[in-house]
Amino acid sequence: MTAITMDHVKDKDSFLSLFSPKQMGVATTGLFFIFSLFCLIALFGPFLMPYSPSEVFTQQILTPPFWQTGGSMAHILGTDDLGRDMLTRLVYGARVSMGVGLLAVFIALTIGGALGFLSSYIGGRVDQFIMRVTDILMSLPSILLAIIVVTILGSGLMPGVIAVSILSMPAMIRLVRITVWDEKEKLYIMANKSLGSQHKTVIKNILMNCKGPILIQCMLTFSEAILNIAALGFLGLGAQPPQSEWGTMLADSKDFIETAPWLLYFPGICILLVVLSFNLLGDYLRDKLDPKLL
Amino acid sequence: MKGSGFLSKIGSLLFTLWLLSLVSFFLIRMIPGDPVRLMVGDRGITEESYQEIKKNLGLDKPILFQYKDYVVKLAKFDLGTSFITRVSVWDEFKEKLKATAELSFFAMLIAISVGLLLGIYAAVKRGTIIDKALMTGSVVGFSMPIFWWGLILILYMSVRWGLTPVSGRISAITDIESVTGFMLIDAWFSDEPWAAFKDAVSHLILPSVVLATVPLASIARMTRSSFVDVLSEDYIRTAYSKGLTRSKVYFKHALRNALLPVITVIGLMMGALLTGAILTETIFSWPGLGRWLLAGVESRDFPVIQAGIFLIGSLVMILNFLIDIIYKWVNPRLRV
Repeated sequence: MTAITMDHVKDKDSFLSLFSPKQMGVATTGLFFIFSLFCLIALFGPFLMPYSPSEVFTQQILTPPFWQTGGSMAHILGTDDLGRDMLTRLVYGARVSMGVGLLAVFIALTIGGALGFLSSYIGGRVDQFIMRVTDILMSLPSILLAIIVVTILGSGLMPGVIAVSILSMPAMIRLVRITVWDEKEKLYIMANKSLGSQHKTVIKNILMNCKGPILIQCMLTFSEAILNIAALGFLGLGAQPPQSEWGTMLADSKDFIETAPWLLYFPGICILLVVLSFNLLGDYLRDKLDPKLL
Repeated sequence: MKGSGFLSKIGSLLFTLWLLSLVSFFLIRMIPGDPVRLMVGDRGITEESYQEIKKNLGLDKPILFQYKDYVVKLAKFDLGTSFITRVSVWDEFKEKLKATAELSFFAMLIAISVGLLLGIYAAVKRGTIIDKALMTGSVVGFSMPIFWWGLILILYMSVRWGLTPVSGRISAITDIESVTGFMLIDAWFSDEPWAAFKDAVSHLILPSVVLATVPLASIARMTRSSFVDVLSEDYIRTAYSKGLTRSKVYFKHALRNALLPVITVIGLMMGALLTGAILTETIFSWPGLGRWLLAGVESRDFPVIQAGIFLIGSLVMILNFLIDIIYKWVNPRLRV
């Protein structure tokens, strides 16, 4: 028992040290920087913006970014077809995307994680039932599930978030189930049980040793959720127009692709950068945490 | 054992289809409010036609009877008629399915061929800068919001450089009679087969590339890791020591064994492919299933939504089922 606890302490230190620039190298440090920047923007950006995202500048409709002719420093990244400031809308959009990502991870982790854990810890009928349901959820194209949710609840950001969270559930359930399953068969857990430890201790020990794969699954959930909510917004099923959300902004840009390409560039670049930096960080962590996988 | 495994697979397929029928049946009833009023929308309606619609939909009977009617109708492919177009939903589905199938087929063709080649190349060049570049590229590929990627391609390929048409399956001036419903085949039945074929291809190419992007990235990645594993096997060393050339070892000995995990990944992609198809169709105004279903959602065309969810869901499940069977057939080790 003491040996295991000791291990955990050591684990924690080495985990944090994975994020030191020395460990990460130039490329990964860069990614980490980009991602942290987006986090900071999502948290504090809205306080720094001089405009509101729905503020309309009727005199400055479709102003290009400042480096193009006709652009001005008043609207650094230009304005859209209604004369709203692009930069402001992007910053508020970051908040929506990151928020949705976090919420999806939270829901997937609490509900999905709990179901996955129960599935493998209890086993038998419960396991079979939960697995059957995830089978069904996984075999439906994600967009279909989203359409079902949106048909029932109406389109909007919240139904979108619910849809995105349901989508991320099956993968989490399966992953938690399989890692817990592997872990609970191991000798130290058997020893733990036969020494008469309480359920609580056994569960804690199992979970402590599954955190690597679960962490990586959370990261995947996060980036997938951001892509999905943007896709829903783009299709008109997620966030609704006045709200500044990256996918919705892209949908609006469709008609101005020729005349105002900056409306198209920036929201897409934001989505790509967040998802890409996060996925590459996930890759890096996976390589470090579980060399077996690659 | 083999027989019973197959039967239980069929059983679970039927069970999932049944659940799907329940979902699509209750969908319309889970929407808050009176479905008939919702369907009619703001147009307003007389009491008479209200009762008539209700009767047509069978909503005046007890719910179990309604479900029985629904299942009986499903078995006869009678899925009702669209509120908007007044065409039978099943006929519309068949028509749109062909457009989506054509697009998805070419996307998968691109994804599999290019993905395999890049994956093998990266594995062979393992640890070099080429490998790193290709694998970083693959992460970019599956981090890509394809709805944005598609618009960027349209902006450059179609609008700026004028290489491909912006949208649709065929130019308005090209006169094609619908024989099979697949443009590339129908083109040969037109007056100017070659010109029509070229026109159809130029419409198809951009959407296929966009739809292929994410699957291509995953296939390349999977191929690389599986190929790297296989290359360290004993039988590969044996093959080399027999004096075989590199290309023979790669393509005859390694590839076959490396393919199995790749096939699994391809099989798992069916659902994602359809999601991608819906996004791609929206960008390119491709008249397929995705646009049809989305238009249904927008206009609250309930028979279309209901039938669309059931039919598309069943389609994906049946495809998954078939892939599962093919997979077992390819890999004797799984035939327990």
